[in-house]
Amino acid sequence: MIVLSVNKLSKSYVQHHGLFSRKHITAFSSVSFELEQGKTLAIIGESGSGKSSLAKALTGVIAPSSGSICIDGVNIANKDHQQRCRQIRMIFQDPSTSLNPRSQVGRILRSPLLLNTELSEQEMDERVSDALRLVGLLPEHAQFYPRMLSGGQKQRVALARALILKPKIIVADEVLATLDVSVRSQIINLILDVQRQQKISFIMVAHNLGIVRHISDNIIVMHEGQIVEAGETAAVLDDPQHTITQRLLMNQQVKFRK
Amino acid sequence: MAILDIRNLTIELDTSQGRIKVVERVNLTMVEGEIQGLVGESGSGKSLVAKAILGIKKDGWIVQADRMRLGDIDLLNLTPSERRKVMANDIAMIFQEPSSHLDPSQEIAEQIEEAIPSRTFEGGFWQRFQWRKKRAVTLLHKVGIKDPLSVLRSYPHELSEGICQKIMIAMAIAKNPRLLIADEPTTAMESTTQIQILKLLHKLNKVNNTSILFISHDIESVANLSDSLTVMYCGQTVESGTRDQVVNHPRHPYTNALLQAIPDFESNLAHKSHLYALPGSIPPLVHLPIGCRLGPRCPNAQKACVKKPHSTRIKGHMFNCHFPLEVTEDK
Repeated sequence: MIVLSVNKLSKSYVQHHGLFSRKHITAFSSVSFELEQGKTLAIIGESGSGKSSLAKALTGVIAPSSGSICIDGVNIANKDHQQRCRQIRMIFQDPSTSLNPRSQVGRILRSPLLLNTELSEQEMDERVSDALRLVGLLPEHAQFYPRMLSGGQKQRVALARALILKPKIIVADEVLATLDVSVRSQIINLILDVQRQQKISFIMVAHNLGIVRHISDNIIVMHEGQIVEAGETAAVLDDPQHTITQRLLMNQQVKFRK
Repeated sequence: MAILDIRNLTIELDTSQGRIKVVERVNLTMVEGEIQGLVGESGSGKSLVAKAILGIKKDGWIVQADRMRLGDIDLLNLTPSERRKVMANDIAMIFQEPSSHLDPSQEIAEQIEEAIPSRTFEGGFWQRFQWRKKRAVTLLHKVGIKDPLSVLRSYPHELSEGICQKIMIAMAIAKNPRLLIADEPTTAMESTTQIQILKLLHKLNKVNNTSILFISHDIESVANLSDSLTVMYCGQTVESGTRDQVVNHPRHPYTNALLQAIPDFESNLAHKSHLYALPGSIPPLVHLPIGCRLGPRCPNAQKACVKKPHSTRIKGHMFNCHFPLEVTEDK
């Protein structure tokens, strides 16, 4: 079942130089792809290839200039934010800066519920403790402030915040890059478990191809705002057709000595 | 000959919770002209070790060691001014996030020329005119910057992270150091730039025979580059040895966990299966466990692990564990 289908989505900015001159900058143009329920899509590419802008456009952080984003066949590109928030959520790169240092974890997790649902106080508390348990924390962690948690635990809270509205799709922008290796595999395992249990689709922006290969089903390779290669992860990475993909793969496996 | 020889380095910090041993009896030996990798996750004290070697101390740090030598210089019995001289002449360091370590208000040219010591001048007095500028261009050329003149005229914010790191490396090699300490030089860089920097360090090591202490949290990139490896966890050395010994025949459960956590292309792991992960998280400094600090997270932990294990040494392969893993066959 196809959850998300993106059709000819593009984003361009206008940059003003002085009074009269202006420049059109394209972040990405005519991007189309589809995502099935319970599958993971990885977006890879060099920096400046527009992969982060694409992730932001999908979640509504920036408005796309043209094209459509359909969830279950309904175009949400111009819909109200509440609708969109309930279906597609985002996790950011750095867990230490994406949580408000002045509010407790419980309050951080409640704010999406307050803004998007009409649950009673008690139901909210239940949802918060359920979400915390789901990501391997304790309900007591709701009283903690973000600075009392370690990096891995903060990333778990960020995942819980994304999960609490029971979305269909979660967009994760380089969430694994800043984590320590031993904690990173815990988070990967957690993401895989959550996906299996709740049939959530993930869109991962990543650069470690070993991990991408392990966790994703489909892959998109981007370069200068265009999709240059797309397909099943194993097929694309085993037999890359485009030079950009080949270069990315070559950089991943440099051997300095034999 | 060993260029760096450290025995039982202990660093203690005075905090409001009392004195904490953040680095406990770390040993490190580097042979001249090798690349040594120092691997550890955050809070393992690897940057503190680097700072101790360089001699950067803050108030409230107590640095003790049985032996700490750089080549034939004993670093422990130097007066501060002699120590500074050693720091200036023989050791260079490059940092994480290079753009934040360059002066944002100065052009690159001024910053590089400042880093070139006058003792490196060669030639007659008539060649003195603008020699620093010429040398700056050569240095930038050496680190693989294609258009040195325009880079020299730029400010740090105009340049990409990769170029900034190359400039930092150029400034570090300006004084022909015997030891180059690279403290996480490639974190937060994308893979293409990362590879360029690693290749550059490898080239420097081969061409100039500079010894490099490469500090990183990513065992994958370090293992690729270095001749020998030291793995640290929470301020204790866990395992050290040649690259082959540590990567292919790890004896310590922590090293094993680090290596298993990397899904690479060769491994025949089932798609979307669980990765090997140690339970729990890295303990904060104020709650360090006694004895072997991996104890509470270790899969093989037993009663004996509350005592700090003695190091076992087999053919240069050193590991600190009460219950080391069996030697595995070649993969």
